[in-house]
Amino acid sequence: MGEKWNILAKYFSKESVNDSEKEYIDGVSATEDSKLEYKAAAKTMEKVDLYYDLKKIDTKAAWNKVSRQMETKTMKFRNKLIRVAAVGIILIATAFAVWRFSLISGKSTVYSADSNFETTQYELPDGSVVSLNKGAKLRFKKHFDDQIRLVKLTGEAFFTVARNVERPFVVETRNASVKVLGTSFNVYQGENTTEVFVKTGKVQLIQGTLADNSKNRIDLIPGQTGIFNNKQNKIVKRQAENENSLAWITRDITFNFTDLATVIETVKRVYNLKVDVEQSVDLKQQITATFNQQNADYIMEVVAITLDLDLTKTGATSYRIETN
Amino acid sequence: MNNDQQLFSKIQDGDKKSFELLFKTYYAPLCLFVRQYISDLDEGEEIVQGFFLKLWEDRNKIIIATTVRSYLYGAIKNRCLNYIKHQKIKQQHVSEVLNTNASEKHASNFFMEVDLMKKIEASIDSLPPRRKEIFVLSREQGLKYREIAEKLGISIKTVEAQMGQALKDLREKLKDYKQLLVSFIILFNKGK
Repeated sequence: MGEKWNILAKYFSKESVNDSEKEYIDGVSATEDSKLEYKAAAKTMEKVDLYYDLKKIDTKAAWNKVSRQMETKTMKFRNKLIRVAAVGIILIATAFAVWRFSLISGKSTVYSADSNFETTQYELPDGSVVSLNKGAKLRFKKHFDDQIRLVKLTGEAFFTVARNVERPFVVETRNASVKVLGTSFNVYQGENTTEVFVKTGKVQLIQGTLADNSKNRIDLIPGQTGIFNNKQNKIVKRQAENENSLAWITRDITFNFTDLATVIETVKRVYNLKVDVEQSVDLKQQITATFNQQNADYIMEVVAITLDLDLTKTGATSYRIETN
Repeated sequence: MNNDQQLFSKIQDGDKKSFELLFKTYYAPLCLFVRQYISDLDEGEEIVQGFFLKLWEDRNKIIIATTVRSYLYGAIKNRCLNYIKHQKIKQQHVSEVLNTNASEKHASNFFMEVDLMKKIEASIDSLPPRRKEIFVLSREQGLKYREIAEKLGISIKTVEAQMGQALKDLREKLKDYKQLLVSFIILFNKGK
């Protein structure tokens, strides 16, 4: 009686069953004698399916991530929302690469701060305050060195640095360093570039780490953007500002005849989204709009409606855009 | 005092090894459980990870009145609902989740003893190669019978027969476990 197992397997696999098969299923699941057998078979399939579902989840990788953060969190950051006086420095840096750990070495303990779930604010040993964007990591020594306050960043962060002209504050990203000479500024690191926009005061953008002592460095003044390109080994200066640099904190986004490609990049970065764009979508079409404190759904919808595109929400933080 | 409770009191003493064990036992089941409320598996995993971090930080403040397991599932469910509320978008969905407990699967549906995991793995491995291949395509890869037939260049009838036989084999191999499960079901049904 191999047949009955075939019908059961088919039924549990959610394949369509014909009338006589359905009749058989109804029969066995109702008759007291065969009920046990039926339930056992159903449980077998159910447990196998559960086994496969569980197997798909990478518990080991998750544990590695969590245990790393456990160590981080043992370091007590307090004073979550301290506002250091106006003598602050604003810095945003985004880096995608794995941390290079060359400079911070020696006996002093290295601390790190991670922010995997939300924007989190921490106070650094010198009283500077840093907001880490989702996914950002910051490493530094518990006690900064005498000559320099060095932090290493991956991801995106916003610094309000306590002023200390004796000890410059240096943020190192994968391929460049940003030395603060008393100012507020913005750093954004792309795959091969590091972009610095200066808001007030003066900032130095340097290739590599400070230890590299590269001659390739540039002083930037307010309104200027310095872009270091890792591939060309070149720093260029521009007079423009990306108005949305701080949008991940302010949630205020402005598009001014901005092309769709940039719009998507901006929204992705600000809200940590995944956006999938169908190839036929024209990325050059432009949008002019201002959003104040809106959520990602709203912005994506407005963009889609404005450009007559089809928007699908494919997950809590992922979208797909297609031509209508 | 069961194992979980002993484990948890060690965790409260700051034993990271015990915490790791608890994590590894419940992480995947909790992720599957979360999927009932949040479809995005990545988001779900983040919620579970965030929960474990918080659990570690607050380990001394936590008093578990029920069992460790029901505490874990309860806390995770709350996190999910908060997350959905926070998203604001799916208000509808929140009230659905809150109101339709009927469709909600019990936590035990998402948990499996390590022993049983191993036993299932070994049982599937011991199927004849062709049967195993077909079975894995169906259950692990989620292919329909028709797709399996096309992929392997065989008839749907053959797939049906092999699947039936595989189910029969596995049922046989897992019998010891199943007996436990079945008697449990009977008790449960009578209790109703």
